[in-house]
Amino acid sequence: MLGAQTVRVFLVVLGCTVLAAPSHAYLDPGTGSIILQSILAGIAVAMGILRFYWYRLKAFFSGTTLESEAADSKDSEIQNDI
Amino acid sequence: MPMAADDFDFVRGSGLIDELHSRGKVIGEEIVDAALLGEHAADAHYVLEHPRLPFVSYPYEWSFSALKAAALLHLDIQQAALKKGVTMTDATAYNIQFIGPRPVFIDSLSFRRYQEGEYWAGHRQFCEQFINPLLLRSFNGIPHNAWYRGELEGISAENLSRLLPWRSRLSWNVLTNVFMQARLQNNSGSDDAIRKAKTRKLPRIGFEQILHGLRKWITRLEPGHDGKTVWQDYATDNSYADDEAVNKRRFIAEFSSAVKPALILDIGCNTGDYSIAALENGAELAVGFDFDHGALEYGYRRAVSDGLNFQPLHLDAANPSPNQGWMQAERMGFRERANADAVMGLALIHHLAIAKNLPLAGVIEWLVDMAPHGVLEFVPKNDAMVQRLLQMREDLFSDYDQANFEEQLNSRARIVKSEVVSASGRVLYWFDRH
Repeated sequence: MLGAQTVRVFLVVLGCTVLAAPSHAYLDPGTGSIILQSILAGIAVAMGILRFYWYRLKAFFSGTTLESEAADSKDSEIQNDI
Repeated sequence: MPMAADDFDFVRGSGLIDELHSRGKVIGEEIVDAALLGEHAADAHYVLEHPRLPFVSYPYEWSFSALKAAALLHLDIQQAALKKGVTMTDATAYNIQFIGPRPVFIDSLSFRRYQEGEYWAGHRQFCEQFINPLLLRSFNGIPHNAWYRGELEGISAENLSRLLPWRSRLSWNVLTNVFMQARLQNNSGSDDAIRKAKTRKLPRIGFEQILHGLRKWITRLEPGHDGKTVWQDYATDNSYADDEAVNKRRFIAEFSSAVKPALILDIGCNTGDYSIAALENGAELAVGFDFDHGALEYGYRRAVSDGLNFQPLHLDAANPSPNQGWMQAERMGFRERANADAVMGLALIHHLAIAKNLPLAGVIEWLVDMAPHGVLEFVPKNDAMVQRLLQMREDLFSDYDQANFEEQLNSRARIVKSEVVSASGRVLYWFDRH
């Protein structure tokens, strides 16, 4: 079970902005759901950034271009399994 | 212009609805003259007409795979919507209906303009109405139907987290969507937490990733405690070869080609063998009902893989779905919906009259009321199946015999044709209701 500390760390990873979001909600989404979504999104974005740099690093050492590398891994790059 | 009409114009202008409709994912719609509805539409900006659904069903009647197909459809639509700058206002399973085994989204007003940074409003509802019921079956082997029928809004993360086995925490998706969500929901009731939650933003890429991750996960979910071998057992158990099955199929084929029902109800459908016989001989759509979750699951998978216009649904004939929800009028009971062109009750009545102690006359009346034409099967007491039902109990059923069966049927319908279909003396009756 992830504790409150871990949650805070994830939120820092997200670096969430503090701007008022539109609130014409038809449904009460639930505070738990919103916090969870920000955590999941934070992780997804962080993974995306890590992947991006991983491919750049691989491209640098293998001498291939970033584009061909990215094309090869089109699926796995975007389809982060969270 | 009212906000809903503004959103409606934006969503239609994006081409999303046309695209989804052309792929069979949302129901057709046409803007019609508001005058058609008279004063009911006095303030309406638009009046829409949809094609009539052949049969309305609810998630508590669906099999595991049908609920899963509905979940995947919802995610597909939300993903396609986001690409066009559209999002959905909710994620209720009741916005999905089935035409045969194919799910279709029916709520035109669930779409609105997406605003950069906004959260997925339907996430919690999606968990409660789709994911959690699927997990209950997948991890605990408990079908979702009875709980869902009692708690119309689905299963909360808090309740499910108390039931799931410990090993389920090893799944990142279960850990986050069930356990973590339940914990966060419990800890977040303070004004401060609500204020903070309201000011956060969800980047679009994060929203897309959440949807993508859920889609991939749900695709892999399977019913627990009754893996694939059981489906194979159903396939081999239901042999087409024996004489009785051949005779029954021939009888149903003749009935179906004469009546040509647009909708036939198959009460006690098992895996759908006789629904298929009807569909192959002039019936357009068969909706089957059975008590056995394994049979429903097999029937649904078969309908999908063989492209059959067959929808198997869960029904306990002794306790069918009631009228419920707001004013007890929101979700219709089985009786209100069971009006078709034809009905079949094969290998069914003895289960109700003997195993469930229901009066024979009442069972026949219940079935005949569903349609103007139908086929019912009488199974005599000396049949092995009835003997099995009577094995451990006293035979209290002195009025359960063929003469009484015919008398009861004759009082409500005309018997068009009857035929003995088995060596034990099982009889099929084709009737036209008075």
